[in-house]
Amino acid sequence: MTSDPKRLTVVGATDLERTLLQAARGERPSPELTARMAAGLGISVGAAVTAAAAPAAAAPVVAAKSALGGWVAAGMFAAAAVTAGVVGSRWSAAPAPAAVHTKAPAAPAIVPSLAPPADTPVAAPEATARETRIEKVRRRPAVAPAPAPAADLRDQIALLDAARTAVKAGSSERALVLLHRYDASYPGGAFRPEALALRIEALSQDGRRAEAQALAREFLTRYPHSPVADRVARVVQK
Amino acid sequence: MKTPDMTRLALVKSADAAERDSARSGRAVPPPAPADRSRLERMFTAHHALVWRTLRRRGLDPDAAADVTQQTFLVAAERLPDINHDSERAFLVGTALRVAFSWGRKTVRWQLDDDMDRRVAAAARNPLDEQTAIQLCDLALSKVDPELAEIFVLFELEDLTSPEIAALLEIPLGTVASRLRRAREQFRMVVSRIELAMRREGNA
Repeated sequence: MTSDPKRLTVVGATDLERTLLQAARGERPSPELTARMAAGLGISVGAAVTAAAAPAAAAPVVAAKSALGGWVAAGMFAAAAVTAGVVGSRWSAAPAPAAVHTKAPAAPAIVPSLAPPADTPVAAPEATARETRIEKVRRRPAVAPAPAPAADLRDQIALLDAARTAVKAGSSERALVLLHRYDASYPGGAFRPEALALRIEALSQDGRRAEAQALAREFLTRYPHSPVADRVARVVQK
Repeated sequence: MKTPDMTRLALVKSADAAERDSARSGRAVPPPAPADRSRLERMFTAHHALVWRTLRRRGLDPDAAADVTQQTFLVAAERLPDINHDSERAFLVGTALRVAFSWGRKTVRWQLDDDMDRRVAAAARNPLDEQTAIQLCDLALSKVDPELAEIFVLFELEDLTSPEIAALLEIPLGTVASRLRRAREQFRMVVSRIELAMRREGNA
């Protein structure tokens, strides 16, 4: 039981007050932000969630942000056809979740089906050394980049998922090759922070401590508020 | 006597310490049960917009609000067993406010003063679209004492009850009521000024 007064929007507000309050009450994160948050958590949310985030948006874009180690995840929220798209390794021991929403046309779970086969030809490992230098990319550019086509996003996610799987399996060399391919194919990719975090982990796993630590320091400079900053910092501290 | 800020700071430190302990312990985090994952997804679906919106009203830009929202759910994921099903919303909002507080006040207060005249003028000359209305709402909130605005936002915009607000801010119920009353007075005064300014602009 509560003796709460009635909300202003219900009783007593002027027209302008009600307009302002109702507008603020209705604000929602964009599909991109919703997808990014979910991806960072390694969870899947349905198309209805991202659609509700901005009904007028035609093509939600992914800009995932995820965590290192146990939290690294990459997700895909393709326009109006997503039922599952993010699988974080933190959750990977659990069965893939059922889609929360299924309003969108039936679509297969994207991540598993897009992971390249184990025998996919890969670039020469030596090339990866050059890729450890970080490009100076503003995290929040003044002008938002054009949305990547869904196919590109699927490919990006597939590459990162495969790299993450390789790291988990202890195949750091293969992970680095996949990450090199990601960097070469998508220099402005939506998942640069995730790729960088994975690279740091792979390098560390591969015994390349100095490179891993240098990258970790750069990561912390560029993404000081990242949810994985603490975990990346552990690489520096080792 | 402990000020509200001191109390909040203590909570922040407590939450941050728990996060750091968890992150730095080096122990492997056991994979969650499927039920936990499912619960986190449900919580995210149900509350992420509310959490994000609360942070926006606190003055964070959309990206920063998303970052803090994500961190909030990361904390929730670590503490799922400790979160009562009936108080998920309050836990998330309380955690979000604490995380935002830890980012520092400079980053979480509105910076609209310079734009006030322009925004009001734009609102007066054109039909009040949703985005402008949101900006004007934030403008009005920026003129309200932050301590009062917080309660105003939770009550008026996010429909939390007074007991919920009292619990998550750790203040007496009577304090919630008095702050809400003062917050309303301040908010309405600012909006009335905006309305007057809009009329002047409209007649110019």
